[in-house]
Amino acid sequence: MNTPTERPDGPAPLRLGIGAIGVIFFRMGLVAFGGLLLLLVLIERELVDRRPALTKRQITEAVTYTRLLPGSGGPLVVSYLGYVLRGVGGSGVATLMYLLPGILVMTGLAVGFVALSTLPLLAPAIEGLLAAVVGIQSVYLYRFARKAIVDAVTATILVAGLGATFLLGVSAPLIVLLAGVVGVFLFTKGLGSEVADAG
Amino acid sequence: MPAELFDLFWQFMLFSLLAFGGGGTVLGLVDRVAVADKGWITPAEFSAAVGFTFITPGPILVLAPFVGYLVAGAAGAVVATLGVFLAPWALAMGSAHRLRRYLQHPRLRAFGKGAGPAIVGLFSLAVLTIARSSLSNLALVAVALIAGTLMARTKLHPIIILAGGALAGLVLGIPALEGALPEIRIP
Repeated sequence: MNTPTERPDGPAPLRLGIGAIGVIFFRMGLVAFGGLLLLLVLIERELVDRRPALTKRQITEAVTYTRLLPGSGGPLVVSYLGYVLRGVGGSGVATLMYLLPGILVMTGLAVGFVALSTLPLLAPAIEGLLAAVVGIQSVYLYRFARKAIVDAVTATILVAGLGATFLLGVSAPLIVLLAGVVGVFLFTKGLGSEVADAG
Repeated sequence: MPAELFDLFWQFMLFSLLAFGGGGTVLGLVDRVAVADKGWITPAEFSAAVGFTFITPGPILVLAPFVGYLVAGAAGAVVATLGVFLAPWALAMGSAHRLRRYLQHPRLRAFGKGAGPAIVGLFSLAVLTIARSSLSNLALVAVALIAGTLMARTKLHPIIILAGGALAGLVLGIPALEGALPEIRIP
C-alpha cells in the first residue's frame, strides 16, 4: 500500500485506462451516501494515495472551479477530474459509472413502487414514509431558507417570487431565472471583495 | 423523439441548469413542474421520489429516473436522467478545459444569490403540496413532527427516520386503529 505523501504540483505520473477509471468511480458511486466531503476522501484515497493518478492540488481545483456551477457537487467534481484523468472519454465514463448505482437503484424503486404501492398491506407503510418525508423536508427547507434569506432584499425576492407564482401564474423556471438576473444586478458590485476574500 | 420524452429531457435539463447550490435547491421547481404544471406525477409520487433519494447512493437529482419511469417507462427514465446530468457534465468538463475564468465570474455567484430566495419560495410550496396530500389525519401529522424533530435535533440518518415513519404507518394502519383516527385537511 502506498504511503500518502505530498506530491509536487503538475501532472501525476500514472495514466489510467478508461476501464480502470470506470471501475474506480463505480465503486465510489456504490457508497455515495455522504455527500461531497466523503467523495473527496474517497477520491484522494483511490487516486492520490493508492495510485498516483491525481495530485491534491488538482482535487482542490476541481472543487474550486465547480462550486459555482449549477448541479450536484459530487458529479461535477467527478466530471472535472475524469476530464483531467483522460479527457472527454474519461469524464464521460467517470460520471456515468459514478451515477450508475444510484440510477439503477432509483429505477428499481420506481418499478417496485408502481408494482407494490397498490398492495393493501404496504399502503399504510407508504403513508407513514411520506409523512416522515414531510418532516425531513421541512427541516431542509428551514436550513436552506436560513442561508438564502439573509436580508430585506432577499426576503423581497422571496415574496415577489411567491406573488408571481400565485397572482400572475408565471412559470417556476422563469421565476428562478428572473430572480437570478435580478441578483446579478443587485449583488455583483458588492461581491467583488467577497470572492477575493474567499479565495 | 416523441414529444413527451423531449419535454421530459428538456425540463430536467432546465432543472439542472437552475440548481445553483446543489440538486436539493430545485426540488420545489421539480414539484411545481412535474406535479402542478404537467401533471406527470401525483404529490404522493413526488414525495416518494424525494424520500427514496435518502436511501439511494448519489446526488438528490438521481430522482430523475424515478420520475421519468413513472411518466414514460424505461425510455422516460433514460431521457430524464440524460437531461438532468448532461449539462452539468458539459459545464464541469468546460471548467476543466478552458472556461474556468468565465465560470469564476462574480456574476455567476450573484445569479445564485438572487435565485436562492425564489427557490426557497418554490421549495415551500412543494413541502406544502406534499403535506396536503400526505397528512390526512392527526397521527400522520405527529409522525411528520417527530420525524422533523429527529432530523433537526439528532444525528440519526434520514434512512432510519424514514424506516421509522414506514413502521409507524404500518402500526397506524392496523384496522382497529384506523377508524379511530380523526381526519384533517390542510388548507
